[in-house]
Amino acid sequence: MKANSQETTASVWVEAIRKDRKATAGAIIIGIFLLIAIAGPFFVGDPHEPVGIPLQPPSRSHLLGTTGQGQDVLAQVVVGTRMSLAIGFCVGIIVVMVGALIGITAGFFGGWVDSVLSLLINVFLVIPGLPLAIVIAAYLPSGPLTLGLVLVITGWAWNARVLRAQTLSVRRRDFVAAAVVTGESTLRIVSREILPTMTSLIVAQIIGSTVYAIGAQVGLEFLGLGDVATVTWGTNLYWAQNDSALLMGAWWTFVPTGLCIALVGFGLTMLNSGFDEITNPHLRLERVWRAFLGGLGRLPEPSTPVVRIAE
Amino acid sequence: MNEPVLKIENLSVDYVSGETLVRAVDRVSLDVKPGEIVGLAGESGCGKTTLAKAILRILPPPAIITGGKIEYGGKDILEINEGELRNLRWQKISIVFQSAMNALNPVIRVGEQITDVILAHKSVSPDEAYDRARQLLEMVGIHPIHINSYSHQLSGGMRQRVCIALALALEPEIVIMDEPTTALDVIVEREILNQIKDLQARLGFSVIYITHDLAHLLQFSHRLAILYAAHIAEIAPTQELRENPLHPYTQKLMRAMPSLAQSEVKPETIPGTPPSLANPPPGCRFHPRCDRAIEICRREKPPLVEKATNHLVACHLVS
Amino acid sequence: MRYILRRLGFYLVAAWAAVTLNFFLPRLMPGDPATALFARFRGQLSPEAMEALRETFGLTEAPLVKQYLTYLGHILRGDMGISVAYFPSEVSGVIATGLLWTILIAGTAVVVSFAIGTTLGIIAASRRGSWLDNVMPSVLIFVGSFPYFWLAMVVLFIMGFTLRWFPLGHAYSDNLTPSLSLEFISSVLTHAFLPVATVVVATLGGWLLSMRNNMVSVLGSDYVNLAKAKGLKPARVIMRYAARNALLPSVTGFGMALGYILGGSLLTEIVFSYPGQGYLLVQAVRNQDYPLMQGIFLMITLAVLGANLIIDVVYLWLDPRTREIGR
Repeated sequence: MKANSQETTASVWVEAIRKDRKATAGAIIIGIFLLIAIAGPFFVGDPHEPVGIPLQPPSRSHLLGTTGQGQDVLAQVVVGTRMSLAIGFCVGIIVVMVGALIGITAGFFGGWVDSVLSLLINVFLVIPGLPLAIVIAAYLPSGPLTLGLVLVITGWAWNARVLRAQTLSVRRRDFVAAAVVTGESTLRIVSREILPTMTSLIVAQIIGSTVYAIGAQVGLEFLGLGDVATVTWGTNLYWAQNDSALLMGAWWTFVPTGLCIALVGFGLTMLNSGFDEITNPHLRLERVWRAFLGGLGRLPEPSTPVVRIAE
Repeated sequence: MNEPVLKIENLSVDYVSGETLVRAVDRVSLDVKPGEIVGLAGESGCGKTTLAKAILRILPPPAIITGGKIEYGGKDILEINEGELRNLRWQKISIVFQSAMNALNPVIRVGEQITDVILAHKSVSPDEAYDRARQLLEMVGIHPIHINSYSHQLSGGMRQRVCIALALALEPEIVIMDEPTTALDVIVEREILNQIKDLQARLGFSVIYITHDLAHLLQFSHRLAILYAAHIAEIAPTQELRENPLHPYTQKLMRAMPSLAQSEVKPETIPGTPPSLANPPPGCRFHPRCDRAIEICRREKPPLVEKATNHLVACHLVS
Repeated sequence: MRYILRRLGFYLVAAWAAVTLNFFLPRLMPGDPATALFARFRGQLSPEAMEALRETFGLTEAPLVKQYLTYLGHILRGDMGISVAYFPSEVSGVIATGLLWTILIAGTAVVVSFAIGTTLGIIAASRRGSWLDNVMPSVLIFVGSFPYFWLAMVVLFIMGFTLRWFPLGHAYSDNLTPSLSLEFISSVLTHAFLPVATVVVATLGGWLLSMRNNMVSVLGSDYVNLAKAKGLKPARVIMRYAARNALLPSVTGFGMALGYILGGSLLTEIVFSYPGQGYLLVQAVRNQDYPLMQGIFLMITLAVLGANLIIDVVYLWLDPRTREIGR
């Protein structure tokens, strides 16, 4: 029974992604980048190795040219994909887990627990993330762990806020109230009754948080707060800026990396647009209505359209 | 009897749902005469609100009108353009929604919501429009001071009175009332019903009154239509229907009413649930809940036929 | 009024939390805070600078509570210590040099972007199926997927470096001294144009999409439906009945996005060598100038809190319901 219902929700998602053109495009983009992250590094050389004259434009031997240190840009972009995506997805998941823990606790228990946690959530929401991340990261040894930690600290609050509101509304429903009255354990109620109602929301949040994590990670690394010796998208841009690539006209040192970042962010956002309709039913109703009218060669009108097909 | 002001003929309305259509109003015909109160009764989900909003063509997506005719003033509302539609709306036909809470814009003052419709249709100055709005509020028993209130500052009953005042702002010929008292408590409900009756008697507009509560309609409508699962089951003058209900559904509805006269008789309930419009039963849509259903009910949809003067019914048992 | 007081109370708590965080961060470093911090700077800094650092963080032998109170006292007086990178300038003085520039860039960008994006969202929602509704959001979301500073690099490369239409950096020409002359103001504007444009372009898509989605929800509501039934002009239905209400969640979102956008704007400043907080921040990071870093963090937090308070006032004006319910 349980497995069955999970199967159906999984197929609902596949269906949602398949039906929405944007979501399909997003899924394809993300699929390609995952492939690059996993297999790509085996096909390119050592990204650290100086292999040519610095700041060479793209050529046959170096498809994307060389950096200010004479390294191969293509190798750097491909190898950087792995680390950047790994951090992005891990942080995305952890951020939502922390957010869920705090948000659901606040929403489920209510009372003073909610008051305290809500205050905490709101404070973290209003304190600007990047400066806070910088201050914390500056005190810690640089590296992926530090990066992940500060991204989680500055990123969880939004998810917590949304999940708290969702928990509050689910909590009021009859079946949850009934479970509480019959004395089921809190953990059981949350895992059996509350969490299943929010799976699509949580998946959407993980995707959204991954977009955030990749963007913020790149920003911090650009500032030099990452480990500048590892190859990631952010450190690529850091070095491009540091080597004054811009003033040398070496666009190839930062354009490919930036395009990759944008494509991943765009792909994830498009993937999420399939979920928009789950959270905003008006969008779905409108879409099927417009599709139907479109099929008849009609444009939507402000007044209820008349399509004489019943006669 | 004089000519009807509004003639609905074979009106069908569908909701687009994925690749299929769900018919919420199926070939419904109904006419409204000047000064007449026509009641439209049925369980929730039978299509009565859809019908009401279709008359003004304000059904939001995913609704489409799929057939029929709505004749008003010699024209078919389904064929006129946006400009003509705008002129007709509120000047000729206005509507009171079920939930006044949702019908009034929470961030616009009551006064502006009344005056904007006056200013949109009549060439009067804003001051004159405000004077008229104050009169309207007084007419429904609200102190004119509330012209500057927001809807959240009013009680539920007051909000619905504002909506009624709004509906009468341009002295329309027809006012559609879609369960205007459902969200209110019994005492306020009674007051508002009396007020509607008074205003109707004074101003002489026609009313299409929609409710799931038959008791209201038996008291003050002139004619009554019973809607079941997108179809009209029975339609008759109220007096006639009260004395001689023909459709088994109407009869059950009557018996489901708490009776004031014989308080010892317990109101019956109708077994079963209304059918889903997405997948209606074949034949007569009421047959699964009808204890007198015979073979033909399961196969054939009964036509609406006139059994007595102005008394139409769709039931195989009767014909 | 009660609403504003409650919000004000909340912002005070948030400000206090930021200050407290600032106080404890150096002390959370592994090992003995003083030793760790100073070990890091030994040899790099003059004894005077070391003393300034000690003074800034109140890293004395006194008990923690006393240190904390001393620190709070300093902050309340606006004393955020001595900068290491700009020794012996005070942190507050260093921050002050860049504050106006940041407010100019970020403030203009955020307001312009919100205004344009929201307007486009309204148009997209009222012309469903038009290119503005179908294509524009995707294009803008794609553009918004680039890191702000990367867009800045590309814009600078094309418009500044290649085409030479705009200056390559700084807030005004080096040969000018700040004055209210036309020459100076136009120099400031040409220097500010690219940074502002970058942030505007990067954030436009978000506003468009959120406003469009709010509009679609509101357009399905009873009160918009009733407004249509009233036979009002479509423009009035869209603007007065739908957009007016759809704006409310967007304004709330505006407050919450502010900090995030400001972060991107700081990184953009760096690319343009724009002398705002972002530029100072990168100097602080490079020189491990903790007092300056923390000062900037505090200053930016206070600025965001202040901006949020302004937004609350706007919201109060927009939504009459908040005026009574002390929510």
